[in-house]
Amino acid sequence: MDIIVTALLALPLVGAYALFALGIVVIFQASRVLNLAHGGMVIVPAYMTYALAQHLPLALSLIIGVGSGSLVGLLVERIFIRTLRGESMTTQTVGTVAAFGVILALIAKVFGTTPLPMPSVFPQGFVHLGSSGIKYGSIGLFVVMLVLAGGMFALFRFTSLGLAMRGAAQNSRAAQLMGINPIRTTQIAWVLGGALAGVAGILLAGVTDLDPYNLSLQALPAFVAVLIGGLESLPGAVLGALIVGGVVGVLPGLPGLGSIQGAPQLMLMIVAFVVMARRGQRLTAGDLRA
Amino acid sequence: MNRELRLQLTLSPRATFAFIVAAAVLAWPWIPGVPYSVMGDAIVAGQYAIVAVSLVLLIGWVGQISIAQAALVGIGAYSTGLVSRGLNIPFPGNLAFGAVAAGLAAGVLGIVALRVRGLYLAVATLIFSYVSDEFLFRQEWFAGHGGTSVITQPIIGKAGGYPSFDLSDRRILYYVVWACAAAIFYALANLRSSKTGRAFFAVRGSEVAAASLGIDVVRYKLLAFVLSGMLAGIAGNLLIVGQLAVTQEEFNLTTSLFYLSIAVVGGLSSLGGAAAAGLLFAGLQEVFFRVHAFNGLLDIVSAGLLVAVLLLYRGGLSAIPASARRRWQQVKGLTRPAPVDGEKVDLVGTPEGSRSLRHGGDEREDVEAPPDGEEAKVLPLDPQPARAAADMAVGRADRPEVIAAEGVTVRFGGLVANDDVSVSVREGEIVGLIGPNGAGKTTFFNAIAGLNQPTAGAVHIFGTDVTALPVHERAKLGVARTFQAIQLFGQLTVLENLMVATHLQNHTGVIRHLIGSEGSIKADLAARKRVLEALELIGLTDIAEKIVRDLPFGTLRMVEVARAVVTGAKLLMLDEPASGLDNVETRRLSDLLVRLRHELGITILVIEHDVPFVTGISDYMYVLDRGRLLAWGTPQQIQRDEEVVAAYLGRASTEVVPARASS
Amino acid sequence: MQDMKEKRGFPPGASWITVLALAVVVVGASLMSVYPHFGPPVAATGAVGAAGTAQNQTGGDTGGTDTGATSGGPAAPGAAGSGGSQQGAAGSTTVKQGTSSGCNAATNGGNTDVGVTSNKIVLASTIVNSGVGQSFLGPVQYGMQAVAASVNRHGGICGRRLDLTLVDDGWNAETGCQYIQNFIHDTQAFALPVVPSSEGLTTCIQNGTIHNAGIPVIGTDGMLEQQYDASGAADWVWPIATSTISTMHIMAIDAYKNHGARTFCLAYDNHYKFGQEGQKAFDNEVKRLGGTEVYDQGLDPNQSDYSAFIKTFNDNCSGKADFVGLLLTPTAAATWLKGGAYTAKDRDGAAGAQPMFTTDLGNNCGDFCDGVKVYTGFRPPLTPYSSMASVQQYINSVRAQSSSADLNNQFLEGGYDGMLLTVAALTAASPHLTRAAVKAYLDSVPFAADGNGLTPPLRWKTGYHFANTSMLAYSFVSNSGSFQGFRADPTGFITDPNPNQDS
Repeated sequence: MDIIVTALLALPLVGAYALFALGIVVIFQASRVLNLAHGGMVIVPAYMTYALAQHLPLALSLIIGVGSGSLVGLLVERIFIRTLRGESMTTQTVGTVAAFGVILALIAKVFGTTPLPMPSVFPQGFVHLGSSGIKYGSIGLFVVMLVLAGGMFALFRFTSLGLAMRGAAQNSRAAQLMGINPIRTTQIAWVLGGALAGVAGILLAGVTDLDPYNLSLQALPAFVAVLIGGLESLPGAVLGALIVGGVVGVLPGLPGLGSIQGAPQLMLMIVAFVVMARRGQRLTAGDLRA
Repeated sequence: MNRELRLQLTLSPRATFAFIVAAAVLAWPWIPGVPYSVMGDAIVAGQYAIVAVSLVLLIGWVGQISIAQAALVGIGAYSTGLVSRGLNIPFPGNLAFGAVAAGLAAGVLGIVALRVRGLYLAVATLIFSYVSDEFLFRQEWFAGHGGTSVITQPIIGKAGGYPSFDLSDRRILYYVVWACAAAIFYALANLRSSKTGRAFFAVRGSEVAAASLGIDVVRYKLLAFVLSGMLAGIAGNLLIVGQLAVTQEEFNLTTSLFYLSIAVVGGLSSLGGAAAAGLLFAGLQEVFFRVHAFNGLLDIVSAGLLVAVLLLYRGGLSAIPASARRRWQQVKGLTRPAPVDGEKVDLVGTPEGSRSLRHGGDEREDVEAPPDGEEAKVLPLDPQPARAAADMAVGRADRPEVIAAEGVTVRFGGLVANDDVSVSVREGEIVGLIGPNGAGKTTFFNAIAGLNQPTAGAVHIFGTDVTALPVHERAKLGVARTFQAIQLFGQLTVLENLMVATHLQNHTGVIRHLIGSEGSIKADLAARKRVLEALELIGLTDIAEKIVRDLPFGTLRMVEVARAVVTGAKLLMLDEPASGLDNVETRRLSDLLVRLRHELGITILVIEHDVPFVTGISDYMYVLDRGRLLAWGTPQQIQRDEEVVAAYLGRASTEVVPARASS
Repeated sequence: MQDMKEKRGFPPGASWITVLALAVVVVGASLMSVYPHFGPPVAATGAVGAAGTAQNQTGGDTGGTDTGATSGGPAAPGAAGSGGSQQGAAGSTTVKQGTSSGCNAATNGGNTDVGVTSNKIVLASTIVNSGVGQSFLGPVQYGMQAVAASVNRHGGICGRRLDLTLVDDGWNAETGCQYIQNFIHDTQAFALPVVPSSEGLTTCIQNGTIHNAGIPVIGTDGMLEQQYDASGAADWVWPIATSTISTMHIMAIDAYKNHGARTFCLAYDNHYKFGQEGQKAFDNEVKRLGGTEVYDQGLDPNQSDYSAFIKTFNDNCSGKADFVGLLLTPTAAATWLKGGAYTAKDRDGAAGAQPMFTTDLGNNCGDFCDGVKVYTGFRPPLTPYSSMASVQQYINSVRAQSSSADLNNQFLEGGYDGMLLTVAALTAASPHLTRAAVKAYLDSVPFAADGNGLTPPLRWKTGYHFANTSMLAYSFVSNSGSFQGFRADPTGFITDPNPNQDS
């Protein structure tokens, strides 16, 4: 029973990581790029919402906030990804890293690093479970994640748009010949990815804190989740997030192991490396560049 | 040798320049009135340069990626602290410990790098950095109380005595740091033009091609990580030796990004660029200290520089001299603006060199027209080789088997690409393997080359069972291959590309490469001689110094064949060599192959679409259709075979034709 | 790739020049150890002679009317350190002249020490204006500038204006210590006041920079125990704030003696050093008092979500601990409290240390902080001290520098008071202003001795710099989610009897 309660406490983490991971996977499926700037797309909407909520009604601020996430996604795609298209993978990766650095530095400069009180979408309060409790906001975050995950899954699997997004990434020339505008579909993917990141950032900040470094670094475990679940799979992303969130959230609650500093992170690394080791293979024909 | 030594004593302009630079670097701290802070910046510049160079090695030369360099620097620093406090080993003794510890940690990353590539690798290094910060640097036994490691600095030698070094003196520390940096730069410069350096570039360019030349990709990747880690460890050691205390905050992810910025701004491929970038960023520190308005802007500025270089001027600082020279020449009217300049140079070098290779080569001036004149409209179906083939077919069974593939079956999931295919290639003959599209030729080829694992059956090459042997080991047996999509290294010259192929004949080791020893130099000279011989044999001597991506496609095919010849392989396997070639080029190629067979006794296996080409050169042929052997025999027999003809022109898909020898 | 023909094997033929140059370097560098070198000059600190009878005096910018105190007897000039370029300053009987006695630029003796001229005293400090520490250390500069501006408005000290250089180091240990070294050598600062960027300062203390330079570091925030190592590397550092160790002692004592707590729990920061030092101090004090330490929870300030930790903590402490101590950064504290951690508030049984004494935290955690106590070593601009003259002066002069800085921020107030201490020391050692005289003064004469300053009277002694050992308690007051302010605890100043234990 105790373990179940501890596991439930990890809900906000699982929810947040899953939303991040979904965004990363959506972008990858459409753009073939691992968006290391995802952390940046998480904090900008959160801060936008915070700033706007002081003057505008919360609902409006939320919409604009999430929209700003999409906007950041579009900008990153236009400025960094498209310009570096055709370069080596390393260059593109470094490009996204650079984007992240710039966004983080700007936010920290403009808003400062004092943690700010984030307006909460869900009512304040706890669902009490024994000696602890789960915030309404945490449950809300998890539920929102499930809904959005289902939506993404349906989009990619069952709609022509989803198919187009996947196709355009695999072979943009063929897609063009079929009347699909690869640039447009890529942009849509980034818009979706940015929106997902934005929702996650806003809701997570609502139950934890609005702080540029901490919040953006929450995207890091999401990469591990993506690694475990595979870059090609949306359900895999959610599964990976479950595992990662579980480890990070539950481990500290365990006696003994939980009190070792940094143990959850170490565990994550071991899991990640094991998964990568099992997935890797020797050189195959697939490594030939076309 | 003595004469050469004497020649060296008169300084060339280059050496004079180097001497002036060296003297300036050594002497300027003695100028009176040099501010203390500037001395500090110079030291920091050296440390930055060392870390940047470690990234140049790993990312620029080998094409891997690491966003964990700060963590490795930290491991070096803390290990030094540990050893210094616990075992009382002062500098420079503790330098080795820092380097080794960081090298080992980097080796762990390297092992991960073996299994993943590109994006996944970046994430892996990210996680490593994160875990180092959260876990490793919090362990008190390693990182000290609260993540702060403090050492005391005994003076080396006797205080006031002679010689003695007081490392708390910034001037001495400056010399120490830059002496280390100079040694590192020297070693890496040696490495770059050595066998190891070429292997690194090959791994970056195309791992498959590298492996086919005998380069153990696994080993070289690990080596790259370990070397890069050791360099970072040295930087960490210098850090703690200089400051006498380090804290955990100096080694987090943001710092890794900062180091990456330095390396990228330097140009990521050149040592000089890394040094220049180190100086630049250290100079920025000085500005931030002096100018009040700029306090605390380091994060933004370094991120901004990184972005600017990536988007606008990818060559970074290292591209400036070349750019400037070109502009200067333009100004003086010497040359017209060239299409490729620093602004468009790829950051890491396009491993997909073939991207330009596909479009490249409209300039035909470089290519000599074949002596027979332009048009050979149709290759004769009964050329000289066919008669030779008839002779070759006689007594074939008595000659030793070079390739003995028996019952090879390759399955991909539910699809059977090759079904019980048995092929025999005898010494000194040219064997052609043809078949319509989708017949499974490439799959079979890759099974022999080592890129596919047969689900059933066995492959023997030169009598050795290679079924489970990795690609680079097959190269050691004397196997070379070409690729349908040309896997040459686009930014290097033809000569350099072919030098890579001398890998297996060069028996010198990494240490000698770092030092730049006589043995290494001699081996390189011998390799170069060999390459020039091969080029002469094939008739490509005049393009030896041309950059590969500027050459026409047809010539590149020949270059790839030349590369295979350089390896000294006795078995040459060609994957659709005629694809993309016009008639003239095809004719050249077939002439070359026949010559190789006759003059060098090389056994050749060709898989191909272009039937006239293959029948023109082969002594024996196999035909594949839908994964199975359809027919085999001499070219004449094959040409007359009705079933083969029907297979090429199409037949009802339900008809199954038993495989048999053509009569 | 290199042109092969030019290469030579090792040892490279052409680089005999380089070898020669290397030899020159080796020889030259060795010579350098004999000649005056480009490093931290080994300061010759004269031994302080037997102390003369110290007399009370008031310091600060209100202008002293007392006669100056005789500092310790003349110090013997220190022996020149190896390679040092300075002789130890001869001790002198410093006679303090108030500004009213006509001490001015013409008569103050000019360049009496490094960083001192006839019309200015060079002071420098690192500050934190960016990065993670900016949220609670950012405002400190206003406190420092407020005092400096006020002194300069009155013509400086004996005609010497305060030339205060502040440089942001982002709370970075490496950069911070480098900057401090630059201050010592390039800026040629006479003293380093406050130095709120404790990371760099601690590094420079630990690696001997401060001690070797013999430069006074006056009025620091004193959180870490390294700053109190007055018999070792920190003999030139005078912290004005209460140490973390003392804070935790006081916290335990207050709970035990004044609120009857017998069982204790602690949530502490296990990343920054202050957390680990404080944990040990707290546990030991509880043991000394005879209480029971039920459970200690280490928290990583970089984590966003403490749910699992909170559950474990609550399982162990809820209902089982009379008192819960909080030794956390404001961010972590907010996350912790808002996450539903047990705090025994109902019995006045939860308290935090100085970093938590900020308006921002009150706003951030709202009702979750209601009733939680927080300690400070300074009289804050709140009831019942806000009407005191010294507190009024603090409020007004800082407001003149910044209209929005959080006056409740105890680092800010500490920075202000630390600057006052600096000015007192400079004034007392003038007109013949030397570092040794400043040291002698600080180690012998109490500060705020009349009891009307921002702290109770503070005394430092040679080898023992635990001066500020008392603290006040305030509570957060919050109503319906909105922070109302701080309420004073009636107990007044509580003193730590064991300030140098557990360090």
